[in-house]
Amino acid sequence: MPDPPKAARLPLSFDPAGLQSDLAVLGAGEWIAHFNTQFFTGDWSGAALRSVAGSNNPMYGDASHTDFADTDLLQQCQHLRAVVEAFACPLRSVRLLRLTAGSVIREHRDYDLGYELGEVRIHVPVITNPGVQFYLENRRIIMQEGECWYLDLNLSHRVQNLGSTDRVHLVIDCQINDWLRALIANGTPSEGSESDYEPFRRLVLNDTALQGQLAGLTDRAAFITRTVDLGRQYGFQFEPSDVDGAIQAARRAWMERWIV
Amino acid sequence: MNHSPDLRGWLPVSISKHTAEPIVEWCRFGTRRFTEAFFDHTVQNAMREPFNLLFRHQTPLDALLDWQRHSPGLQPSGLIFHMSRCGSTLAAQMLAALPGHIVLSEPPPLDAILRCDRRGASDDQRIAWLRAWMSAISQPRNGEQRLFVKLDAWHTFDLPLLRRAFPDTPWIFLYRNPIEVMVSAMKAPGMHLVPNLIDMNLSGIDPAAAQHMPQAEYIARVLAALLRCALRHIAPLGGKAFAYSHLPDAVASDIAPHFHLTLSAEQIAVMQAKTPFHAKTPQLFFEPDTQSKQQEASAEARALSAAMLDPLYAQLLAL
Repeated sequence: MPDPPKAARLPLSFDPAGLQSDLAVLGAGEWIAHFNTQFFTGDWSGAALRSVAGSNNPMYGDASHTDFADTDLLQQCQHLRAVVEAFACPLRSVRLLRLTAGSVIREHRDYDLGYELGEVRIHVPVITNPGVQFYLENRRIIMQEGECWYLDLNLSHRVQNLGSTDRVHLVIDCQINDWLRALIANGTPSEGSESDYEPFRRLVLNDTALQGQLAGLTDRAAFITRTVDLGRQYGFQFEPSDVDGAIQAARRAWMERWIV
Repeated sequence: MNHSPDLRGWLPVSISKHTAEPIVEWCRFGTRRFTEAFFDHTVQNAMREPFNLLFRHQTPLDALLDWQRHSPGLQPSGLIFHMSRCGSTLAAQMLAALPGHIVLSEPPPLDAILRCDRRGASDDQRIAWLRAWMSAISQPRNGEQRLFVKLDAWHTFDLPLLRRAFPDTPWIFLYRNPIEVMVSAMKAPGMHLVPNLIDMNLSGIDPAAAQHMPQAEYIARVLAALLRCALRHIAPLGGKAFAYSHLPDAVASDIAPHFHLTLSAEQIAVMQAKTPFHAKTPQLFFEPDTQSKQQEASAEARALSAAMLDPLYAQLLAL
């Protein structure tokens, strides 16, 4: 059996207009902010459609929980329910996750997820916009509304919503079984694409004069600002969070460089 | 790799051991000096700068040879071998106190090149890489004129090869009353004093037996092997042994002349200003701990030291 892809668009798709119409039933009170405020800036919150029994907290439920139950909210969302029912595998938590315009989820890994670990996360974009940038191992994956994606989120990833509208994804945590393995195997793997940051980094690495403009800056925020500005001067469009994510990934790689 | 990068201002601060081929990581060091107690502490400090995390050249080992031809650095003026816990860090820190000196204290890239023997690299190959790495790391960036290297304790086992690599470089071996080293090592053993933790050319101790040996016995056996090795090579390979009890004064009075260093009174004062501090943790004051270490020694450690180490110590003292 070949290794599972890092990301794949699955052969399932749904009508975005229907999914979006379900959002109308959600009141402001349904959205609960993500507990880990170190992970993001702005507003990253969720609404529970299936959660640990007795809890309506969409963020609650680690690998130790097995007692998941649909929430009342799911019963009111017929199109979302149809998506959930299309999954012929045991389901764990199901939620809507919302990243508001201008918000950023910093680079991180979800260590409890993994194809080999038996638990994988499926994303179905309900509302998105071209300013949403999702990076998996520094490769940008573009997911369109109504599509269905398998992502190996045990790998480093980050999201920035640079658009003017919120991004809402239906996020389904599945226990892997033969049906889901086949679905992933029949998906269209995506390698993603680089942001402008990495080509700019390579330009600097080979240009002593550009190096001189960035080396020696010890303050991280000042370094990031200077890097973004210098990139713009040379026609490279990337964001502070691109640089920030790259610093985090590089630090981790440096710390782990002796680990076999 | 398509073409060699421009390495002016870049230093080969790390060499990977676990990749299919060793990869040299080059870091843009500016005028940063190696003044921390250990080479890797300086590198870690450099890595706090975002630039250094994001921008590093990576090359194969042979790029060192090209760079050596392009831009030769310094020849080492002195090599410091030691049995560990014997004042070697203090000696290195004193030498590093002078701005004209580059002092590399237990640099891991040097160990990585030595251990290329495990990959089948010949002695000549390793010698060429060692010289080239030394040349690249010692590019003067602040007008430095002299290079000193304090090796890892277990590189005493690699003395013949290092002598062949740097035949004109004077070398010393630092040692201390073994019971005091044992007391210190049993509290916080160096990597070479934990069975099978690192790869080194230690002979005479069966790795499987080492795993089950009492800690004190293993430490005593490795220290004995180090001392025997030093004793075997000192006369034929032109080294000089110095005891901890003569530090720190011997650094200026004996070690410096052995390294062909002529020091002014001002320079000696700058070096000695380092000595009130504990060399590995400068925030602690250095205090003579011979008495406390002697008192702490267990009966087991005393017996092992008497049987295996004291005779070797006596031979070193008698040199």
